[in-house]
Amino acid sequence: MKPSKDLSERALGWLLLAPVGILLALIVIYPVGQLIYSSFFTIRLTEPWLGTPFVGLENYVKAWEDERFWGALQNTILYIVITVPGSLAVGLGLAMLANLPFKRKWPVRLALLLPWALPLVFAGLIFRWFFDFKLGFVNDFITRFGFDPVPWLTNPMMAKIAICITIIWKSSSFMALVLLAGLQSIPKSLYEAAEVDGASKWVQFKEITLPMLVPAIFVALIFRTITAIQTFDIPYAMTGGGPGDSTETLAMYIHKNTLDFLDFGYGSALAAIMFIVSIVATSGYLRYTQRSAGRD
Amino acid sequence: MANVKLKQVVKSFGETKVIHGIDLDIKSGEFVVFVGPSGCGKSTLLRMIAGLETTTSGDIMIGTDRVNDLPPRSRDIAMVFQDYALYPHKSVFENMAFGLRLRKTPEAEIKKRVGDAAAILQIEHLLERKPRQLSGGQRQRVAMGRAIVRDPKAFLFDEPLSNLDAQLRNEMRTEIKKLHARLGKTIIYVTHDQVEAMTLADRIAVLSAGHVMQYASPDEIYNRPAAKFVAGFTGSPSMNFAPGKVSADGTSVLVAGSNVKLGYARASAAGSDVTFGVRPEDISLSGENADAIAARVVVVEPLGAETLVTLAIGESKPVEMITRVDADTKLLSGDQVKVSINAAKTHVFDLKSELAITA
Repeated sequence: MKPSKDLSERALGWLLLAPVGILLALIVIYPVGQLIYSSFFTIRLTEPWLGTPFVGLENYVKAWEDERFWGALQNTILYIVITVPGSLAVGLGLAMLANLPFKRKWPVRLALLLPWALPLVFAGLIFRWFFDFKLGFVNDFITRFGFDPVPWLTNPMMAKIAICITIIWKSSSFMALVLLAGLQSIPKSLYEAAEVDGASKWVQFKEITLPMLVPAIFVALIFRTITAIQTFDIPYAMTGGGPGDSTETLAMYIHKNTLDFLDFGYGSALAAIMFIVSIVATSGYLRYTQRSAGRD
Repeated sequence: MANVKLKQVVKSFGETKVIHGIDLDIKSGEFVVFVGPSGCGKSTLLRMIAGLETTTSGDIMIGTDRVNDLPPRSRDIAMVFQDYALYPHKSVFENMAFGLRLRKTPEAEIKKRVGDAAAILQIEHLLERKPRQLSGGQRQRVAMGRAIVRDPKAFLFDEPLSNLDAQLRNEMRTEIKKLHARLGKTIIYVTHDQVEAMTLADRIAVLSAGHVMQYASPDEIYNRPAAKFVAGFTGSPSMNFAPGKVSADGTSVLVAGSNVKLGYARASAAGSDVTFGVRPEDISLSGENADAIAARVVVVEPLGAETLVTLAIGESKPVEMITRVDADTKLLSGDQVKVSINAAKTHVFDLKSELAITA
């Protein structure tokens, strides 16, 4: 091939990539860059006389010393550690249920989809009512069995549990959908071969379903972890971060700093930290999936 | 090793009956092929024997046990699937060892049995590989290996060669035949390919629409088909059929205005309209003789080893029939020839029931 043709083909390649590249730059690279840039400045709209001086890493140092930041980070990690495996387990159960040979599949699929289709804030509000001390159906239910009502949303520990339950309920259906797609791609003949080979249902699950589902599980885990890092709506609607700031997440604290306290410099630094946490968490999964893909 | 017996076996899916009271007796060590067109119920019948489909009524016996209510794992059978159904995440060794592990076979015994089976199937060098790293033929061997390590009472093969290309199919067919000769196990084999059926089977069950049309040796199926369906399904090209009328004494059939002698008299059909049948190799080009029938060459198809010639036979209302001739025979479309039909190899079928008329 002639070098000139090579060059023009390469130019055409870049030209064809350009629209996507520009779009990506506009909606991803520019905002992230702007965010990181802002994090090096003091931008407090409540104190306009301060101007917007460059402060270097001061906002990050502030975060390092900010107990409320550490509390929010801790809560976020707690929600990740509890709700990601929780929704995986519940989602897998739902997916296997939906994969049963029902005569009519659509009611099952619909039931699976509903929690997913519901806006997060709605889910939060519904469960806030469920867990209400006086009017909630959860306390109504447990008092019928002779137990004392539980202060679900006013006790820091119980509030965390209530929030985790709500997040798992809300996010399991998405997990189930991803896993259901994975389950349906497993050839039926593998189960038949295992059946003939002498495998019980449990052995079939362990030896066929789970190993064959690993790629789908990873996809589901990556998505779920990213959304778990960003947890905001459900605790916001259920407790507003309270009691105190015992259920506040990183995303809520960022929101509070930027939109309530109008401290964009510090808020940007916190958001940059969350961005880094997201990248670290997901790159771990990605590295694992790439390694197992390479092994194949 | 065990015999397999089916007694009045019926399968219905809801209101639809797909297997209509089949009786079959498969002897211990016998190689039986279920053959038939798509949808005839052959795979369903095999899966019922395996326990992968429930049996609506009737009895399935493996050895002396009635197995209708036993799950597949308790029937002590091994099955080779059309898509091989190898566990993709397990190595070839682990695929073959899986059934043994589930039966708590000692590790040393597993190694020995997998090793032996791999040696028989010439896949020893593949044991560490994953199924996706194998070719179609190799996967097929692994699937067979997984079956033979178990040493079951019977082997069930569900169209095992249909995913392979023609050449590999021929090779594997020979392998399977060798394997049966070596192991001497009861094999039930499902295929829609009559060549596989003819070459492999001790006995063939020809199925159509959930009925066994004939259950006999390949020779019997080919030379004495019990029904028009069986006659038409075996042989390539298949049997030629033409409308005919049996003579008053039952010794000949009037086909396309010419009298064709029958091997023996069909007194029961004397004077009636029938379907006349003759295989391509039983029509030969002949010189002038008393029984010769006039024919016109329609199409000539040289195959190398032989040539297929489509002829319009008869004078009044010619019927098209195919014959095989020697590759050296030079014929052109439009040529007028004389043909003789081997009386001993003629077949007569009832018009309505389509069953062979044999007396």
